[in-house]
Amino acid sequence: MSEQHTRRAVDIGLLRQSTGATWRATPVIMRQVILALLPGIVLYAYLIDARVLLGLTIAVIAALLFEAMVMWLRKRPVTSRLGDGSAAVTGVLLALSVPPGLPAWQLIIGCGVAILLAKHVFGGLGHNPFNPAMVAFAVLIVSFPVTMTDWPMTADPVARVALGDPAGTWDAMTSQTPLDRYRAHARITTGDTVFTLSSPGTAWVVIALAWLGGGLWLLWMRVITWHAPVALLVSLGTCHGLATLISPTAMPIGIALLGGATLFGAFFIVTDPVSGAATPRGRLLFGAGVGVLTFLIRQFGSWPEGFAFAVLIMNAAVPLIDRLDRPRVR
Amino acid sequence: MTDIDTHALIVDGLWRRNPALVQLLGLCPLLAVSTSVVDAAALGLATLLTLLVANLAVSLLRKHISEAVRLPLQILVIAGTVTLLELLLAAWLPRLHESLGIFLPLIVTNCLILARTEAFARHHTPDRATIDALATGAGFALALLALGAVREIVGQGTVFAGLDKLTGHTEALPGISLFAAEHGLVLAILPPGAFILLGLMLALLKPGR
Amino acid sequence: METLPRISGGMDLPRFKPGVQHPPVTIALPATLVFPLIGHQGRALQACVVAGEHVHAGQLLAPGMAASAKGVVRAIEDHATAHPSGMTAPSVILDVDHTRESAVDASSATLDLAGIVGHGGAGFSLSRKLSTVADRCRCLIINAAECEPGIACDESLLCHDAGAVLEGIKALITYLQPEQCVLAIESDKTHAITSFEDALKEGKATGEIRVLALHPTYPSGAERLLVNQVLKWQGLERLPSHQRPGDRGIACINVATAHAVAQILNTGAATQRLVTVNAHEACTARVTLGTPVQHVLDVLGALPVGAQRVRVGGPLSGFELADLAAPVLTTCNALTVATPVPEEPVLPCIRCGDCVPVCPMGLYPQQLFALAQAQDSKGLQRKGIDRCITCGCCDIACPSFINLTTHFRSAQSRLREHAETERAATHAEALHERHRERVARDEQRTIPGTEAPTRTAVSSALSRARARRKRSG
Ligand code: SF4
Ligand code: SF4
Repeated sequence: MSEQHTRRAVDIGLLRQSTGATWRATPVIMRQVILALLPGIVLYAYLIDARVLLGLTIAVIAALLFEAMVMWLRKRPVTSRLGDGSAAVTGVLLALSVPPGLPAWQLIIGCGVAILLAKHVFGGLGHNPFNPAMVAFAVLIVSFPVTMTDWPMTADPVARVALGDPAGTWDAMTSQTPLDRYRAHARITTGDTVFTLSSPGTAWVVIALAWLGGGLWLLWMRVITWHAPVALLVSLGTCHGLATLISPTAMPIGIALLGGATLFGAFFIVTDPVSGAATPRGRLLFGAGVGVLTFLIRQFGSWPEGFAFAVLIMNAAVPLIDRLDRPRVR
Repeated sequence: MTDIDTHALIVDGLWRRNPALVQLLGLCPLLAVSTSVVDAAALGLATLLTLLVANLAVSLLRKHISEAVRLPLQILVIAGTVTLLELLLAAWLPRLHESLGIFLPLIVTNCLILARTEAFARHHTPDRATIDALATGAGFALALLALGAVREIVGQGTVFAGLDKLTGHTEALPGISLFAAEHGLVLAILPPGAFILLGLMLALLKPGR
Repeated sequence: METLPRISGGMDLPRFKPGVQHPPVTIALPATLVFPLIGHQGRALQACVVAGEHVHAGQLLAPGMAASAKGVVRAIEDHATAHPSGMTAPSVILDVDHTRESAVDASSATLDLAGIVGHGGAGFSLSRKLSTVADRCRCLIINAAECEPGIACDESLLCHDAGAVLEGIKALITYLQPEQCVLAIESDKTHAITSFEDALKEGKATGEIRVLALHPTYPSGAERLLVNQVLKWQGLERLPSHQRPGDRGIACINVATAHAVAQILNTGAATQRLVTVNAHEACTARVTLGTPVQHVLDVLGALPVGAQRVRVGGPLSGFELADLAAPVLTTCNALTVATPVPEEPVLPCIRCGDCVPVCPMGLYPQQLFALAQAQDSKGLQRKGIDRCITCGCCDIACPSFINLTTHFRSAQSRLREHAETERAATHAEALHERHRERVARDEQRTIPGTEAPTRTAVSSALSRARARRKRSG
């Protein structure tokens, strides 16, 4: 299209800069997302498993290589697209969603799925209807159910003492995120609500709070908007709240919101612009949908964590949301 | 009808107009049964046989079939062949019969066969029709086999597992194992995996055309 | 001075107002003036002069288009226009008669508005606008806002000729008899405000016209937005999307238009407008309407050299001029001569939604963009493309450097064209239908003695019509 190469007599870039901190180019946005993840990553490596760093490195390199490969195959400029950072972000998000001990080759397959199948098959950046990291997560958990649920058995001993569980009481359980623990535990001792935060699960809570912090920073920097995260947390909280009212053995709200992928997903997954809704009202609907579906899958489904599937289902609903949401013209 | 060159017929059926990879006909069995090489081969052969019989029969009867009832008649021919085949399999290879399940009788509805009888056999001599059936059927079977092989290898790390079903051996044959089953990409064996792999296969073959 | 509420959406852009300090420079009349026969929204006009005809300043060349100087019509032919598409259009080319204009008897001049076209962006015919609210005008809004950076002609007008503006406003008040009259201007244009308030005091009209301060947010001066701000200030409900300001008895008129009214009262014709010229040295030029851009820049010594290009209008709402022979008309408020900055390569839309909150019209530019690319006219209309004022805010906000507004502008004109052909087709069909009916009827009852009109009858009727027009013009 010829318009794409028009030049302007007045530098629109100057106007952009003049609007201050609110405007930044797409690559910068991607970099800021990674920055916001850093505190959580550091805590993750320290408290849970340092292998996550290795996983992150592998995932980012694999994602970039796959991206470069596709760009080369599609005869597009390789460097410009690598520079936009979206592939790296996908790699980071995927590496943080899977257990840190996941074999490298499985992680690489995941990156391949994310970049090749989820992103470029649909036309690359901006055209993928599904969140690439979540597609990869779904493919991995369906394909490698064993390694994908193998969360680290013990936390770093120092952290364990610091967090009040020197004996590693919870180590006997097979799955270790608070959410998995709760599910496993609830299955063993039904009726006995014994989950307390003073377990290695605490480490996960600390990390969840770090994700929250990073997310709030992104909000403050106006990289993301509040709509989808808030709608997600509210709807998920409401569902779990209602569930606890009906059945005392249901998962407590605290665990529901702090455990699993909830906060990570709320600020880094459902805020993915490309596969989410683009309007404020659309984002509210999108977030709320993810919340309800996550609850349903957690409560009634057979997967340990329904977040990825909820996101994928709502991704599929985005065109519908877009269509329904008519602007209120001023 | 002008006679079509035998060579062209074969190339068309196997490659240029491959029913599975180009015309995308018969996708339902293609995707459902291609979880292992053995199942894929069995269904491929069954389809090939059916197509051969049906094509030949329709071609032989072509002068006697009136326009108005040709479709019911063709279906009848196909259904008869499939029923015969199913009974034979049930008698001689019961375990294969079991593992193919509903997809064996469903060959009747495979649009590929009806397409060949309708578009080709009823306009051509029996020898042409036979060549066409063999080429097209083989094309379908090969595509099925390829997809089955890929899905079996990627999904559970084996090839030719359960060969006994085809040969009639009584003890289970494990086939060739390439790597431990738990390292397999389970998705490949699930229905969505079939779609994705078929899509990838089509994409890979595209530059070849 | 009261302050209006801030608009929602829009953005705070730099307040770059060139050439206000010095009084306007009058550009001498060129040898020829050009008047493209295009009306509001690109409708073709029918010329009512013929080649060789002598015209005087203020005489209508076509409905809604008056000559701005005395001269002889050289030809009516295709000529470059100042249009975003760079198209040519049939234009009246006028050889200017440089002899002194015979003195116009200003006292006899009535407020004949037929030739005035609004000096705001849209070029809406003033008489049409006024007739929609005449007799029931509740509020007259004089729009002195120029929120786009790089345009300062209205500010310059208020600073240096506030008296004439006031005179025009007073005439409009007399004509419309509005219940209230306000002048809306950005709060930071202190010099212009003082100048106008001085004029008010001098003209003893302080109570009659209230000055309202706008938050200087782009594009708070856009008609609809301004009307809504004033309505909100009055404690009234804002315009629903299907209503026009006129439906609520509101007339929103640009200061420059008010000034044109004053020109008509004083000289019998509105022939000039102020244009901000942004070249190496910024200034405000007083340009006779129809003057080719080339001439203006030539006189100012600002013709583009090398890679420089000329842009008509501001950095956001304007466009690059394809041909310097195009004339300055009422809607041309600024000319910028500069070397274009290469734009960043356009990245795909990442659906970040940054363009949504900045849209002053509450539209979803991202969705409009997707629909425009899919050429889905129904979808575009459903999502309100015709409400887009092509302000350009979404362009600035977009992190992927997409020229959204360009797409919207072309989508709008495409849709408009489509509607136009549709309408024309229906109209033609109806005409044909009626013609057939009449023929059938006439055949049934042919009255003896009524033959088809002869050639001479037609031409004599034409000449009678022309004579009548001369008398009235
Ligand atoms: S150009 Fe149109 S869509 Fe974009 S911000 Fe302005 S009014 Fe909204
Ligand atoms: S600002 Fe640009 S990239 Fe973001 S949603 Fe709007 S059009 Fe797409």
